[in-house]
Amino acid sequence: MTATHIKRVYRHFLIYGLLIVLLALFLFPIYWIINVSLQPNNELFRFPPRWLPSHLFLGSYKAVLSSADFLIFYKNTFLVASGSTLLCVVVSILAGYGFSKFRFPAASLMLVLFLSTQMFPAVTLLIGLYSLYSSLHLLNTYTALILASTTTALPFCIMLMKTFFDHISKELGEASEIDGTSQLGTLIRIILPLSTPGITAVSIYTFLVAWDDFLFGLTLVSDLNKRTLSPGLSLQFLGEFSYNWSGAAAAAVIATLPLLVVFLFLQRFMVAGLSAGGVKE
Amino acid sequence: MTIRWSRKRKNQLFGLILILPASLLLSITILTPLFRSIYTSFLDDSLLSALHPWNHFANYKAVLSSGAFYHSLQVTLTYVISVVVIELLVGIALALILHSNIILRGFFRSIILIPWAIPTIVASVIFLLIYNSDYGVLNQLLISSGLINEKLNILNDASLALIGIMGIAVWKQTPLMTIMILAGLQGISKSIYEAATIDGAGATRSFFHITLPALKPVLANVALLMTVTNFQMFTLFYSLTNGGPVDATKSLAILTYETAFQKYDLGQGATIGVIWMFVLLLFSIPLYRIAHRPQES
Repeated sequence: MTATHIKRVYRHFLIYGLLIVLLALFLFPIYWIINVSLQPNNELFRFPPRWLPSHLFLGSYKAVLSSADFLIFYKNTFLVASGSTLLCVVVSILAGYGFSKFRFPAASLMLVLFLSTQMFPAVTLLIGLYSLYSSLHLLNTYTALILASTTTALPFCIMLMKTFFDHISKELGEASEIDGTSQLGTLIRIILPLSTPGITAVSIYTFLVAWDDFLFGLTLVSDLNKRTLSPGLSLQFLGEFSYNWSGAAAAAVIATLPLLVVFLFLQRFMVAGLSAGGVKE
Repeated sequence: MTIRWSRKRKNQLFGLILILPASLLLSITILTPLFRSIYTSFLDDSLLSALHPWNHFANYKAVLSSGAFYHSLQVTLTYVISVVVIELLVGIALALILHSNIILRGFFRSIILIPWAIPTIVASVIFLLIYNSDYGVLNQLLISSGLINEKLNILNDASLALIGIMGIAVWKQTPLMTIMILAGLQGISKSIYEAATIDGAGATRSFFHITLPALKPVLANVALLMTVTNFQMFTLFYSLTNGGPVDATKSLAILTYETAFQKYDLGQGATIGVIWMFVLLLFSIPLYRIAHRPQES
């Protein structure tokens, strides 16, 4: 073997070794929670822990899925996440297109202002938001949560859609307008059908942000019937966590499933969209 | 007489109409509460005062002279800086690996993103199980590999709790950073590397003289995103330690929340929130400027 040969083998060894270690670190926690959720509690409270269930135990999943509270939290989270996604997609398409195609005074200043809203700490805003929503009678409503999640996701989504529209040929729109199509018609009939990857990325991003919300759900909602998953899990399952590990793990797995399904089917778009929005600004 | 608008004016008007819904939404849910929070920070708005009078900066004086505020600031800065630096290092390493010619590259790129799709509260549940002092698997791994002799109680140990939370943040956030850095790597033209190789530059020199400078805006952007995210981190702190043990993890998010919503001193809570916001802006502006500096090609 020549020296370069040895060097190459060494390099491969290093790359694959590091890859395996890092992948193990990032994926092990996911394996672990599934492992815990498939064991009954009396088998969990032992040291050292079991690395595989001794038998397949589905009792915790059955218990979680027949818990009325959990199903309410689930439904609420689904409603809030879907509502936020719909609202955010429509608003960010309009604004993204506006910023991308039309030059009007102060446009770039407004864009920076929009983006900088991401930097205001949510807990700081919450103090003002709480009294505002309380005077508007919006506490304990889906509307409050949908508005909160939409605005959390919105600045990034506008940027993403703007970048996406920037890459769609400008002549395409101009040709269509010369043909006599209105500006709105051009957007809906010509531009939007070409923008599915961007719209998909924005939808997934908003859905994830809304599903992940904890702070707003915790503070703007106190009614059990309007409670969402994250605060529900925290208040209900982390409270009884000390003795029901298996249940908490099963609830956590079920709470993650819709995201994983969305993610596995659409992550190709997500990666492309995120890179576009995150890099080419 | 009808006014005929020029095409340009018409376009501008249409553009403004398009951004109107976004402007309305952001002013209702961000600007209005922001101004209300700032306004509240000048008031005596606590359970004891029904009138909320203007109190001559008493909140600011109280906050800026309290040890609790500086302690939380220190916790927050330690947390944010450590997490962002570790994430950048791991993210760059992982992105370089996923950029090189490895088998199953597409597959690895997809599965590495999975932690990003896990809800933060679920990450809390997962690591409560892993970190548990009596039956947790981390203790087993550390003991069987001979690194420790006695079980650690990570989240209840004042010297370890913050590190424990940092670990979870790094686990959850690094995958997204990796993919964004990877996209940056893919944007670097291959011909530059070829030219460098012809000139006799090795892999290390190429990395420091080509890759890193070319990645600078992407890295600044990613660092900005993670700085903002972590400065605001509430879920992990609240659900895992709620500021404890003995305030070791009492970040500004927890201090603000506790002051405003658990001690019901909205005035002082808002004050901490406002100062915190300015600290965050101070950190963000330089990163923002690097990320958005016009590229010299």
